[in-house]
Amino acid sequence: MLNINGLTIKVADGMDVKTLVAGVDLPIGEERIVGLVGGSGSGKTTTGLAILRLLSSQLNITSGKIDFLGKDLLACPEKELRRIRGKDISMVFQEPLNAFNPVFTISQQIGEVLKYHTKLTRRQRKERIEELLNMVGIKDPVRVCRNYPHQLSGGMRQRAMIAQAIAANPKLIIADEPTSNLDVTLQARIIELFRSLRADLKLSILLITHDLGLVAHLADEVAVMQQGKIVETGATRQVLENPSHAYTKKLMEVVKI
Amino acid sequence: MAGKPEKHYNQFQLALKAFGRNRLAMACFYVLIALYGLAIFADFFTPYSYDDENRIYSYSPPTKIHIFNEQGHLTRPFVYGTKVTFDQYHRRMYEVKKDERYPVRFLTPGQEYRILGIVPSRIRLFSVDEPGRIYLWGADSRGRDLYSRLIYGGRVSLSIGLIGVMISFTIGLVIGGIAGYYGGKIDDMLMRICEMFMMVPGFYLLLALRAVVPADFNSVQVYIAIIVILSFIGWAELARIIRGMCLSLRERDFVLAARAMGLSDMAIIIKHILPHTLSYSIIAIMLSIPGYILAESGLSLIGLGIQDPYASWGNLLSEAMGIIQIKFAPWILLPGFFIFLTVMCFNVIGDALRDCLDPKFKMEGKV
Amino acid sequence: MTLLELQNVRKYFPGPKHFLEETQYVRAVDHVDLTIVEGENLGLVGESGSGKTTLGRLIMKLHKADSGAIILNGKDISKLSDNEFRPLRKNVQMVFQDPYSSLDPRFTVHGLLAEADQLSQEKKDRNARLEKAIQAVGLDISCLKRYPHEFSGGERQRIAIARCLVMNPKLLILDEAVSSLDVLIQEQVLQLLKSLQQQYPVTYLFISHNLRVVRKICHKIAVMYRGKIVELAASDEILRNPLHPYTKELLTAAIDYKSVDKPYNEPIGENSRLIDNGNGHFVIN
Repeated sequence: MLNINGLTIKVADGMDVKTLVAGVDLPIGEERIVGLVGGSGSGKTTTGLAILRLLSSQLNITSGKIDFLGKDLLACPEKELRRIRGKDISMVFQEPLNAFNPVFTISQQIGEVLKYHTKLTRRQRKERIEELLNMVGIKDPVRVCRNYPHQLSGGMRQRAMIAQAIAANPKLIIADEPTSNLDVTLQARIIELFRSLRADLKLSILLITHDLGLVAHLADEVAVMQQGKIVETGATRQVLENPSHAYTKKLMEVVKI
Repeated sequence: MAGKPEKHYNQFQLALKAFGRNRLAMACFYVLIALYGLAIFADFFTPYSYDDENRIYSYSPPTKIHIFNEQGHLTRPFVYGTKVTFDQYHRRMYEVKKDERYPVRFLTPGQEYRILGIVPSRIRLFSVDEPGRIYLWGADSRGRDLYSRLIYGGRVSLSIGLIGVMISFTIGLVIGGIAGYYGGKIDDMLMRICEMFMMVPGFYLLLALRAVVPADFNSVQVYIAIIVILSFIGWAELARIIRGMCLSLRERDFVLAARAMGLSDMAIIIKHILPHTLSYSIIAIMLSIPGYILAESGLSLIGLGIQDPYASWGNLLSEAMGIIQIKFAPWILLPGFFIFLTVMCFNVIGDALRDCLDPKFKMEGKV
Repeated sequence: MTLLELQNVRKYFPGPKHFLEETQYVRAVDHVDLTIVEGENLGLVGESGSGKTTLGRLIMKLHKADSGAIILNGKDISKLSDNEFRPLRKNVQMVFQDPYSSLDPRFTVHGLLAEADQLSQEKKDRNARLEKAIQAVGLDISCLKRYPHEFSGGERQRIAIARCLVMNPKLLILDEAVSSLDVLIQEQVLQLLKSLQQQYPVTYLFISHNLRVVRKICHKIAVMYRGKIVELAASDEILRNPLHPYTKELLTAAIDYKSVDKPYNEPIGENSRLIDNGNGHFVIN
């Protein structure tokens, strides 16, 4: 469904040019959860943001193709890309406090996605928002709708962000460190939420994280990144039982009991 | 990394380097340096003192400096003498007397003065022998050289801006810092006092305070009184903003860490909190100096500031308040241009500083 | 030797004041007893809102306890005024969660460490002490000249640890100190903390929400829930044999990344106390 081919991203750092992502190939199939694992600075977030061309202007995509259902996302015009963003491919960020606009209520923010990408009427949008909040496991959606982001707890905020991400029925969700800021118990719940959403809504998830344990319990396939390159890739079970690259082995050691 | 010189900059220094790359801002900076330089060393750069009158030459137009003599050869710069006659309307007519030539002398002794008020000297940059007069930019109603009075006037106008702002800034920092760090009742009380000061309309407070100053103060005392009055009005706004910044800064982890180490409150405020308000403060200073200069000019214009014979750009402009003067002696408006130039430069520098000290420069290595 | 003893410590925060209504209190720390023995690292585990961070700050006297005794090195510091406590502060220091805001960006690393040093020592040999500290955390001496923004998150936490070490504390509280670092860096910092205990006579109070991380350096683990300690035992014992349902929930989430069907939500009675279940394994009743 989505295929990243030979993606290379560079940034000018004073006099030198640093390569953040070096020739990355990453296929994401339908209804698959793919884990992209690496330490900070490995280029995983940059790769994820590149799919939707959300990189800052200082970063240059020097080569590569991102094929999404026949279209090359890196080459298509901005107008087309905007129709894809939020609708076919959406993102869940690490810190909902930063990703949500603090002066709008939750229903206004999710409503914005629906307004832009669907033709629902106001009443239909209201119903859909409540439906979405229920789907992500928020027990009193009516109250949460009226709340501002800072009035919710961390776990609720992250669920609200996931609700916003699935609002327009995307085919792919890019989740960038979605649980890093949450307690372990909340993290466990969000993992289950992702699993059930994948089954119910038939979507794929690109899970970007530094925690191999998270990937082990959620992802079907895993790609390990180090310094801009993919060093190991394969089905999760196989990679974890038989890691071949030294970096993967190190990550495994850390997560084992 | 081999061969790269080991230089580490904190964010402040990085911002200053960025400022250095902004050409317009650097140009304005040099202009201001030039203006302040001229003002400080006014005695050297001017041929005449500010009160050197010659009423015959009232409103004399700017003296032309010639570098070609009658034969068309390049020669040492000189000026002609001027003859003053009256026409049928009793207006002054200035005629050039070609038979009197006064060479412009450079670095000659003129009227005695003291450099920086301490070292006596007589050297002036340029002058002409008496009875010739060199009015670079024309003369005012009493025949005083406008160019000289402008430079001397710069002393008052430019310094009032700087000193007044320094005083306000200090008061504002101290009060804002204490209010912001301690919060609670202290904060409430100090902020209410601030608001009382901010409530009174500025110019009226200025006039009212000026009225309180005794009439028999000499000019120096009036000068000091004006500075005090201006700073009195200006500190409140800065204090409020510093207080807001301190309120949020004291929640930062590094302040908590400092408390955990056992630093005293005063040490925390001075070493950790106030320096972070520096970037805002510098910009606020740059952008409020023009206000002080204009306030002084306004006061002097209506006769409540610096009085004759002392010069300030404001009271120089008070001569330009008649249409007759403006029509026939347009050079009398030059002080306005200088005020404009100075204010513009401060604003440009303030804007550039604001851009340089922008949070985007504070991106702390979060890749 | 007992380093720190908390007796019946209480800290309630008032909720929003409503007109004509009784103010509700958030029971951040609700009658907590805790003992830390020299040389035995204690892990304090709980979710956000359990009161573990507040407890750490109470020990540091960054908050004032409402009641109870905090006995550090035999002296009850809860009753001391700020000025009286100041010279004792060097005995207990804290590393904070966010490496990006716990170091004042205007100071060089040298300046940051020197500030800590001058509060506890004379100027003599200062540079030598600072160099020793920065090398002890695995960073080069040249780092002393640099500014915090030139370092990564993991390196900044090392600098924060070095800053604490300069004061030679007996107790070092790590408040979610590795939670914002990625797993490999986390591991490095944890190994560093372990090795530091060979060189410095310091005991750790490690506050975290993740049991998996805590057990790596802590000998004992206390589980905190809604302001009270609900279970306390040796690390291995708790991981092998968790008794309290909340502990089980935390364990399942941290190790297996699974959640339980019914999250633990019982209020804890006023008079609940920790009961010894044998071999030092305490559970609340």
